[in-house]
Amino acid sequence: MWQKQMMFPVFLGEQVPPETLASTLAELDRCLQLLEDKFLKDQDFVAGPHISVADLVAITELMHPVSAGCQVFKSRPKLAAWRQRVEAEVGKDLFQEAHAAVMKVEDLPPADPAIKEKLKPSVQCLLQ
Amino acid sequence: MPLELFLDLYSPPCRAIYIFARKNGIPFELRPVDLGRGEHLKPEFLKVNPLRKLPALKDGDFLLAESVAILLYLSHKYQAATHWYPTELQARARVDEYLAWQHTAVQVPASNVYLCKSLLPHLSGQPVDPVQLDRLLGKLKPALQHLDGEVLAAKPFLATEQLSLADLMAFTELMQPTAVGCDIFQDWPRLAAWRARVEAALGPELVQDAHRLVLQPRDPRDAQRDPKLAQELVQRLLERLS
Repeated sequence: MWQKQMMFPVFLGEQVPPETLASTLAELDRCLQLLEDKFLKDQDFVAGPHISVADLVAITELMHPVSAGCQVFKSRPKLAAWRQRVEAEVGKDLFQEAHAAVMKVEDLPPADPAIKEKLKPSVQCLLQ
Repeated sequence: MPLELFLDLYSPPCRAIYIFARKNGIPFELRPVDLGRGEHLKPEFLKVNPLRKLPALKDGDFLLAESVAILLYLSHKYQAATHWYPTELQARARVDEYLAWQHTAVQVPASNVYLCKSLLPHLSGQPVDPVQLDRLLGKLKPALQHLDGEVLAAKPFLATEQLSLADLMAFTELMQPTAVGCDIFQDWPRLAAWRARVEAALGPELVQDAHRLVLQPRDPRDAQRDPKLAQELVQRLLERLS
């Protein structure tokens, strides 16, 4: 999702067609629903009452669409509460430090045009 | 209540679990769920696995989804021989590495070839789309190149020197396109030799039994029985393959 909204326009130099974005967002929504209903349920963390590697994997993935401007946690209070818990367990400083690069992606300098051209086909492949 | 395994032997991860349970003498009750008839989408199955996918396991009140998680659960609970999932740290890490990689690198492209070649034509009544098939075979190629050219050049099995869960998962996945006429082993000699080794280690009869369904040509009347469902499944497949 992050790839389609953020990385691809930067790399391909063109906006992603709205239909592609719409279907991707719909899929993201479905996944988030499953995360809430099947995994999180009424638990504090994804696999039970304590933080586990499952929470680390999940949170780092979800920070991607967040960095692309997709308000994943805003409309989902259950997930937002879980995020707070994970951030508290991990430690706020460490959490911010780990996500510094992905949160600053808008400020990245433009990619080298030669590298852009080289990577373009594999990026386009990911869009399919 | 004995262990229940919800499987469709058309599905490679289901076959891996079936073979593992039989090979290790694990007592279980087979609960067939017919993917081709959309039984995984019905409310009764939703209670077993809200993710609407196979395989699924029910051990008393304990419900478990995801083939890798199920294989590991069975390995640990029934104390399978250690070659399946080694105790040594780095050997185990190699098996973990393969099991993590294979979901997107092998399972998705290999299954897509099978869907394009067999299930989609069966449900839609349309002939196989050769352009799409070719494109999908192309997407599987990097994984085959890696396994044949790099992994099996260094050792006889995919993760360690012995048959492990990695080989079991890979075997049933790569049999999927092969069973329906896309023999992916024909261009890769090390993979072909590995396949023979795995089949011998698992037992040819057990392998044959597990693959009986997928090796049979499908009965066209099956799809016509519920045309509305067939249409819905075709839509899902077309979305997945696009």
